[in-house]
Amino acid sequence: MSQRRYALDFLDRLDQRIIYLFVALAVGIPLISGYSLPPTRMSTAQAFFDQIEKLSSTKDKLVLISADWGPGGVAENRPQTEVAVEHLLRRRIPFAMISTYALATPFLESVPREVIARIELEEPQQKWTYGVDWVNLGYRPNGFLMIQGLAKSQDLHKVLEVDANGLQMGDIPLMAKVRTIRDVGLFIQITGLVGVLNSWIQYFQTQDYRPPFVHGCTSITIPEAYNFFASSQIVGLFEGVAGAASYELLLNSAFPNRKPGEAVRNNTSIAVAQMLIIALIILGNVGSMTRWLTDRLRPSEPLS
Amino acid sequence: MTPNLKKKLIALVTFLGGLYFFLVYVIPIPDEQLVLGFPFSTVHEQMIFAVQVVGIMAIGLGLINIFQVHGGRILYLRKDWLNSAALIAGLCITMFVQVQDLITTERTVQAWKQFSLLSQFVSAIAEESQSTSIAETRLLALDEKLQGIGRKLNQERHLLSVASHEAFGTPPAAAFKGDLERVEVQLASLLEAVRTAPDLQNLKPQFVELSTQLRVVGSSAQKVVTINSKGNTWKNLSRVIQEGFFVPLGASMFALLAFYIAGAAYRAFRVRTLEAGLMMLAALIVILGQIPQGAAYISEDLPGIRKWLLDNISTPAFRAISFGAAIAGLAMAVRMWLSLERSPLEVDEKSTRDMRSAKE
Amino acid sequence: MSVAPLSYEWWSIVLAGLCSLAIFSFLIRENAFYRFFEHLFIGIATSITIMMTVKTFIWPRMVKPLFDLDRLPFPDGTFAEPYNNLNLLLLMPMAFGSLYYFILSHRFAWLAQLVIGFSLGVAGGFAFEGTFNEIIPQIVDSFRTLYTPGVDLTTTEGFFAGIANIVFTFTLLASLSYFFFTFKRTDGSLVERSSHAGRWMMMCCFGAFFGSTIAARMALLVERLDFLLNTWSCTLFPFISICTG
Repeated sequence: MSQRRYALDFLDRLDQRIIYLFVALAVGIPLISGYSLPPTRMSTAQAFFDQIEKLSSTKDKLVLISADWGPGGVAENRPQTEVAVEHLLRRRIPFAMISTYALATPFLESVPREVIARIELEEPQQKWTYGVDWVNLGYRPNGFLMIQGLAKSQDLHKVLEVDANGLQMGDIPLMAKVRTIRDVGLFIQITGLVGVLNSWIQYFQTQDYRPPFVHGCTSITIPEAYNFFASSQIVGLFEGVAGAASYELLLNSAFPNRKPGEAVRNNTSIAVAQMLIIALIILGNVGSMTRWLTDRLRPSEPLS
Repeated sequence: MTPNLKKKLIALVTFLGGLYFFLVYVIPIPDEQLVLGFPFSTVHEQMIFAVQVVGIMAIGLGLINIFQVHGGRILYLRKDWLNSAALIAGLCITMFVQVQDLITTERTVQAWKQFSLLSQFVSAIAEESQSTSIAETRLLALDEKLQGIGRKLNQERHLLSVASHEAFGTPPAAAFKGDLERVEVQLASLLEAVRTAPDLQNLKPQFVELSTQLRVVGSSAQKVVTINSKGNTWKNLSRVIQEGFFVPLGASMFALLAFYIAGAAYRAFRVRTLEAGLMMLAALIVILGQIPQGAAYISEDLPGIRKWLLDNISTPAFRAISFGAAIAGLAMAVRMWLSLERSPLEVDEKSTRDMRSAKE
Repeated sequence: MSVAPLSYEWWSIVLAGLCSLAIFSFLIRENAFYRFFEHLFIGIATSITIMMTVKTFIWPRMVKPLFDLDRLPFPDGTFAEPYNNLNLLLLMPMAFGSLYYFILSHRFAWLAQLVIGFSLGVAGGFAFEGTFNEIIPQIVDSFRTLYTPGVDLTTTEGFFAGIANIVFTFTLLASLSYFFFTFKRTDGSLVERSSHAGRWMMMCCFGAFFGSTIAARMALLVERLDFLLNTWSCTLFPFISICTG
């Protein structure tokens, strides 16, 4: 019995590796050529920006940044952490890096140091010092238990003991006045892991105090983050790399001498790849639509 | 112990584990309230710490399992033993480097913190010494300690660090040496004063000054140690492992997903029903609203439409799902807490006997 | 960016590129090269997880206080303060936690169930606080006014702003009704129709998730390709035009 043949059959038989090649080209060509478009303005990133702008740089309150991402989140969470850290450094607001995810450890030290190195090149007369402008509290195990412990503690120095470099809390100038959760003026939570933001929202509060929460998520969890944003459990949001790219625009306006980062170019590259995906979905559906139409219009007649 | 008694004991421990934290939530106790002679806030902190310690003790289980599975493969040269060797080698080498890094960190912190300890020592001499002779003996011990540090400095290029000497010749190193010399002069003068003074009362200001100067030496030592630690071999090796292997391997594995999603989007995403069409439409709006090309080439309103969709359709739909999940989660948590759920690890003696007899 | 050849940084970049290419070789076909590096990654990741826990918790908060390693002597051999005997209380949770290892024994596995049950009980006790802290604000936010005053319904923007809360409430109730399994569903009944509508709304939600997922996956690839094309290739071959341009 001869098998029915359809027009555009070759679409079904297309080797996966050709699709992979197209994906690599769609992503790689904009990166090499430097093609970039201004990102979409996002009101959620603006809200994030406004929260940091509202902070006073009198150094009496700390910003706590929980960077709960690892190698899997480098693509989206790293640019988000970089722009947030850069904004805090430029405004001279002290911050502490912490994480509940062990694989985040190298980034807790490297991200602030690289951002500092970059902005010190732009502003040679300014210096940022470890222990005065920022501190790395390192990875803290035990997830929600640790978060509860931080929130309910009457003396954070006893709970934290040492920073990631072995320094006692008492020896770190910026931690001198930070004793309880009330000394945290803003909490920035950046992650792509499921459930981590939920743990912080559930447990990082006391009966009478909860610091404002802002969040940086990977694109996968944007709809989930919107749920928290709608109920004001978070008051600012980075929506993936697009959010970081939008934030870069805001930083460029606030600090005109700033050298543009890579988030805008990477965002454009992602956008080209997304357009390719749309094209692939349409192409795939065209193939199956052709089969369906052929079967309906010519039910018993083979194509050739 | 009978199986029934074991089950009851496990259920009791499970219940007690959750009872404290449940009661703390439903019965608000003021932080200053004394419990067992301590403020409640301290007791609560220690309870959380104790539970953390219990959880942390499981850290070795994963290691044991890895060595059981992969170690066995290597020992008996089973299939894929080379890959198992790579795993064990990666684990052991990284652990060795990290342990060396930890030791180096401890020693470098001690290198400058010792001055803080000596400063405390000087304060203790002033407060606790009951006679000038006791004070003199203790000050001589301090002198000997400082001489020891000075001798190490005089060994060429050895400057507070255990391995590296990047700071040698730099301004912080010169400042540190200068501060240390000042302390030695101050100490010599204080020793002389203690030998001739009838009591320590009039010498308190000199003790305070020496204690303060030792703290100054400590902070200039910290600067030296910070420079030295940058050139430390173990720290550099640790960085190579993290940035040369760990980060790229992890990121690349996740990056493969981009190719798979493209393949899946091409092969599997078929709009066969109205519901699938609706899902596709929503996906299109979200994608086009997020990318710059959407607003630039298609419609300026796309980002607004996307936000409206996320705010007013996606959010309430997801919220409904999360309400259901939260209630189900709470119900499950209560069932676990009250041991109403059968544990998968439960060893049933009857089924164990049946298995044994089946084997025989 | 220029990196000194054969420096630690140079080796980091070169090795990183080789590792990335080894993993990407899987796209052509599964191969031994990929499997070797995959296993290497598992070993390194396991080690980092364990060592970070040791560095940040076990060593400073358990070992040092218990074995008196955090209390250094003065030059004359005395101490600033005596050993805190309360540190010995650490032995209790440590001993209890050690029961985990009985899971390796068939005969005494029930002892491991004690500590596993305890952990589950703790999680259960915490669940109340966590669930209510997370859900109550969302429940409060869900009560929205259906009428939005001061909105011009004649413009497109105003119209959609005006019906936003109505659509929100309708979507929420319809989606919730999808999960009402205790009501009898007959054809044409209110619950049946609203759950049908809820399903449609949830499909929009899943579509939003799918659209977002694509961006996330592509971002992962962009970062790696950026590294390979702009950092790794320029470190190995600094003379090529994209590096000198």
